[in-house]
Amino acid sequence: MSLLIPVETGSEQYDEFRFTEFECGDQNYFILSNTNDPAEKIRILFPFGLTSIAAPYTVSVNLFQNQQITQSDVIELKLTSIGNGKDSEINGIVQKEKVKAFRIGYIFMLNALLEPTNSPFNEHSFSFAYYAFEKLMSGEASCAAKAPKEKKDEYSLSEFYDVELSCVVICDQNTDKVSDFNFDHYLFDLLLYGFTFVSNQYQKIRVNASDFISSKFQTIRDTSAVGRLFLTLRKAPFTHTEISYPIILIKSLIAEESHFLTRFHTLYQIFEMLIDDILKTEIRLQICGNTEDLQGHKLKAKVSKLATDGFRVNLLINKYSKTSDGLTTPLTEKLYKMATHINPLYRETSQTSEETEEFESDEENDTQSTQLAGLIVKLRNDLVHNYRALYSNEQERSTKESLVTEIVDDLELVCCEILVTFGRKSERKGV
Amino acid sequence: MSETSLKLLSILPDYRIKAANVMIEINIGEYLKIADFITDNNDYQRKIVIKSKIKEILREDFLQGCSIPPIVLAVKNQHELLDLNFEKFNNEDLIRKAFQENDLLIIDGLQRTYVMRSLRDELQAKKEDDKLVYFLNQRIRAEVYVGLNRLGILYRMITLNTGQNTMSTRHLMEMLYFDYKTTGIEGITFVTDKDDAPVRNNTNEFNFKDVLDGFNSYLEGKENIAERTEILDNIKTLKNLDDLNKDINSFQNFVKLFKQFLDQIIQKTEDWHFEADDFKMTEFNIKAQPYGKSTLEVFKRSQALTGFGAALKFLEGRGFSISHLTDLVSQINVEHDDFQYVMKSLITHLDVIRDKSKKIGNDQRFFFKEIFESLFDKNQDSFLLFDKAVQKAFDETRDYKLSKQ
Repeated sequence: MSLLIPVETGSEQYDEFRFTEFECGDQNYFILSNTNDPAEKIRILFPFGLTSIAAPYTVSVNLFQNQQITQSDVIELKLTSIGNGKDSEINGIVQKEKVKAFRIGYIFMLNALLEPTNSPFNEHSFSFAYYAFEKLMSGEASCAAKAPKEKKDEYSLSEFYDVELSCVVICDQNTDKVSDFNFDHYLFDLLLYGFTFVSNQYQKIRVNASDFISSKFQTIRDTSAVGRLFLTLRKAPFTHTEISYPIILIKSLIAEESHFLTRFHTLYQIFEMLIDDILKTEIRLQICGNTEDLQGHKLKAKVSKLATDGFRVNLLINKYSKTSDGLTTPLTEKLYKMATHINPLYRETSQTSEETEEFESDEENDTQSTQLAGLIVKLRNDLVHNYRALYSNEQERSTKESLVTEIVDDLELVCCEILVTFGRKSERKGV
Repeated sequence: MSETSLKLLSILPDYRIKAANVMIEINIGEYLKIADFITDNNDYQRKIVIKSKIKEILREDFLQGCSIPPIVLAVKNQHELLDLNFEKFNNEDLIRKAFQENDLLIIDGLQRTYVMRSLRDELQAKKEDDKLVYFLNQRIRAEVYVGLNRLGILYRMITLNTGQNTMSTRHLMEMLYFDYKTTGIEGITFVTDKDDAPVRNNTNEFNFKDVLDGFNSYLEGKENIAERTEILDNIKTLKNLDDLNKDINSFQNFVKLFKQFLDQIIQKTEDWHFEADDFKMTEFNIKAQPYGKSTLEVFKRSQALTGFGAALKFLEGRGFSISHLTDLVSQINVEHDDFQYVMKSLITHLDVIRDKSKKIGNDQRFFFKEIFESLFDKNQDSFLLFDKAVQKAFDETRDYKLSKQ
């Protein structure tokens, strides 16, 4: 991979320059050579003095937008090692398998790579900073470097990358210890903290304005008791078959500036995808193998219930995943408000059987989650069948549009929580 | 003087930059001896790498005796040129002396010079003596500017470099003022990164780069220093240089005024130094190491210098000149708090900025700029009141720059 430099200032033609060496001196530079003419070189300033770099390591670099992070934040990124999953017994007491968190990398703003006088790095994180810089200068980050407009012999990092972006640097040697490691599976948890994946620097990145994000990011700041910040990431397990769409969503669609209607439907696809999986699971669990025991009319009732989207969305939120009250409570309130905007006579009790279904009485119902599920389905139906109701009163139009936008922001995060905590009923370790 | 191939061809006055333009002819061999010295001993004429194809074409041209456009040089030593009448300049000996003593700058023609050097070295290595002699005896022309003051040199470099690989503003700035590195300004000395010695803890010695940053901010009217690699393609900057040309002492005045401020503020704060116990109070709780451990350390850094420079430009727009400020500096006072208390507040504010900012350096510079503007703008109620100026600057920085947490 390489960086693109114009053949001359203002030209639309570019030469490719590849990283060849690191030059140490009064100042330190990354030297890149023209792939067509190796004698032609450019230099990119590495502003730090070189103390010691832990070697040899390789890293991967992913770029994100985040409104919460500041230049002095260096967040240690961790994963949880599950171990062999077996409890042990010592002196007659069952010992739970200890879950350890181990470091895989760091998160910091690119701006931190430009100011040694305000450096937030310590001796451990500095090596990651150096390797990240090298990766960026090689054009090997998750998104392509920008091409500067001027032709000159010395450049700065800021001419290739927006330095307000955050950089997630992961050490390959650490993640090699994790079987089937795929960083994409952790993007959903990262979004909950406000990290929006950047795939194209020239694209304006849409920022999720949900209040939940700032409170979630605060939990990172609350780890600073020992002078360091930590973030332990959860993996989206992807037990369902359709894995490609959530990845496209998180890496591309979520960052796009689009109408709230488009955003809602792209997010609701996650529900559609997961309730299909739930359908298959529930049929397997409730019906297959029980057909001899169930009477025809009961079997028919079960199948009819499972066929309704509302019932399965309810199962999704109540049983198949876990969501935060700090997110779902305000979302439920907003959805209820939206429902009354669309239909002023709307009351909770007037929800149709399509939208809220009672389910097996041997399991405890979560009233709020049930209400949330019903309201999500209601909004979906309203946007599909009754979208015009948003514009019934021109004076309220901007209020309603703002409300839907807020709802979609929260729903985006709910989708992430669902994806991260989703598990088949038989695999869940308690509700 | 030893025998030289130098021949003076003509002298023309340049009314635009107020210098004499002397056209000479010289052998390549003699030119390269001077060029070796200039490029090897001048920190600011940095090595460049040219495209192989262009290098090859030029090399062939030289071997075949092709004539090249004149190299542009300037006589460096300003001391002997203070009384120069550029319209009537006719001193051939001065030119010869400049060549003999290697007292020259290459303004344009560095690429051609490096190709000539490289070809000479190649022919020497291959012992191709006939070709070498032929090459070194070839005549080239050079334009030598005499009496070009520093700003004129910069102007010529900018205009001659237009369209080619450009130099950064900072590079040009360093070339303009490199003499001060050795001569200093009225007892004020400068230390560069290359000098293997730290800057001493006094108001007489400064980091050269930091001072240039500050002066650059003054020229641009912006506290955020241009990226070191940002090219000079700004017509407005050329105009700034034009304005400055009318006052050739502006750099000196800038440095002297800042030193005067430093001396005053150190005295008024009773040479305040950081004490950890003072910052255990809730009011002065800081999360990281203090920005500076003394008044001198706080105000001697690049951030304060660039803030000072940008503020000066702003104040000039309000009708204040550097000479006005020279009188005001000694009148700095406080309204309520004492100076030491204000220094502790300042350190605390800088800690908040470090913690909350997405661009720490920029926001620190903004903070300092606001301090100086608030301190020296007589239209503000913080005029000459250090405590009010610091608080006002922090309020502005917090409201406009820091992310909401």
